[in-house]
Amino acid sequence: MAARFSVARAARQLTSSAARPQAPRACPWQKASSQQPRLFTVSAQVKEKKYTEDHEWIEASADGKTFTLGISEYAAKALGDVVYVELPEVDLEVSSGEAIGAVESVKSASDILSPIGGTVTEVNDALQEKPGNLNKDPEGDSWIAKIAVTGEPEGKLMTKAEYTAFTEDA
Amino acid sequence: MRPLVHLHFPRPISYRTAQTLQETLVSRFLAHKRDPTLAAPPPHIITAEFNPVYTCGRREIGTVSAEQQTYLQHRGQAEFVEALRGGQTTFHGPGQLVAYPIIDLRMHKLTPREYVCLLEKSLIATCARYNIKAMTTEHTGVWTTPDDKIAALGVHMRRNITSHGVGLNVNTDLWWFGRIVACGLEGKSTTSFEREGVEGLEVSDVGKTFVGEIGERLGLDAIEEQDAEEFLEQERQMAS
Repeated sequence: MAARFSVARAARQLTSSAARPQAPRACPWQKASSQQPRLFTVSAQVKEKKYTEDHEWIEASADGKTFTLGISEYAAKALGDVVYVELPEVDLEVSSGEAIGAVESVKSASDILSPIGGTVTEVNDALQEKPGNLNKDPEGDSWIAKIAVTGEPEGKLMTKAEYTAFTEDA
Repeated sequence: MRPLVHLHFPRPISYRTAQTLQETLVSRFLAHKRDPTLAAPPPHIITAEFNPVYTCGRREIGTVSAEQQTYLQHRGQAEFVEALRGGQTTFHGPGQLVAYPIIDLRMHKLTPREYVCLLEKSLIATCARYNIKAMTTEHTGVWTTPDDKIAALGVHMRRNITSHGVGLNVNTDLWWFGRIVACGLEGKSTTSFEREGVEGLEVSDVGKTFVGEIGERLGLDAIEEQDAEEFLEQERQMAS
């Protein structure tokens, strides 16, 4: 797994951020994804932003075919200053519950898991250059990855209110 | 109150042996998270001395060149391993206490940052038990002066389950550290109990002290000691 990430990272470094313009946020993936026959639509329960017990959030795109994944504000605070973000490789296929990367801070590396299966379509390359941005806007500009859904979410997903109660309980 | 299970390796082991044991334990915790009807494992801590090994941290994976690895291996006398933990390159070897707590941070109501802090406090308290004054600085790890590091730490978490941990130099041959820029910090050096004038200690005794300190801070009042080699042997028999 780690080797796969590092190969992706090396490949990204080779192509260099200058040669390879940063993927725009409103990305052209929906066009590309409509050509793929095996895509599912995110079920209604993920349309609204949802949170996992491991402090990831997911939010579906308007057409429900992709979702954006990130870590919660609570998690970003609990981790402290982020010094490194390990991003997945575009086209990586993930099953629900699998690690798609990691966030490193104060000598601790925490895995980021995907609560839903799919194919990584886009990663937030800006975090490679400025990992500290993850502390500033973890639930907005500092999303981690976008994933074209190929399955139903597994495991417990919470609404904002349920998640807030969950973290207050911790 | 549940005990802290202390798995101790009586002889120096390879990095891989410790890796196998910690992966076995982590997967038990994760199995419980997926299926809460399975019993929650008690908190564990592994202590050992490793055969000479340089390990790099997660963000350095794939960046240590073949030449650098050959240099680190020093004619086959040390291994080189890429680890999934936080932190940067460091050395482990005989004379150094390695301690890997495998615990569910959520069960202990700790954030990752609080956990790192708890490890540092337990290390400082352990040093104090042998009359060594140690401290934290702006850099992570535990130091006897702002330039002399006595203990390093690097942890990994998946679903709040911890692995990897700390390395505390009791009577490590410090020559191994002189060959690298440990933990990416230029101009700093590494020290040990021995260099601080505390000689003749058994690493396993310092290990017991550290386990006691960490158990207390985790709110656990009993330590249940087990031979880690026997534990792994039982695991192998169960698997076959």
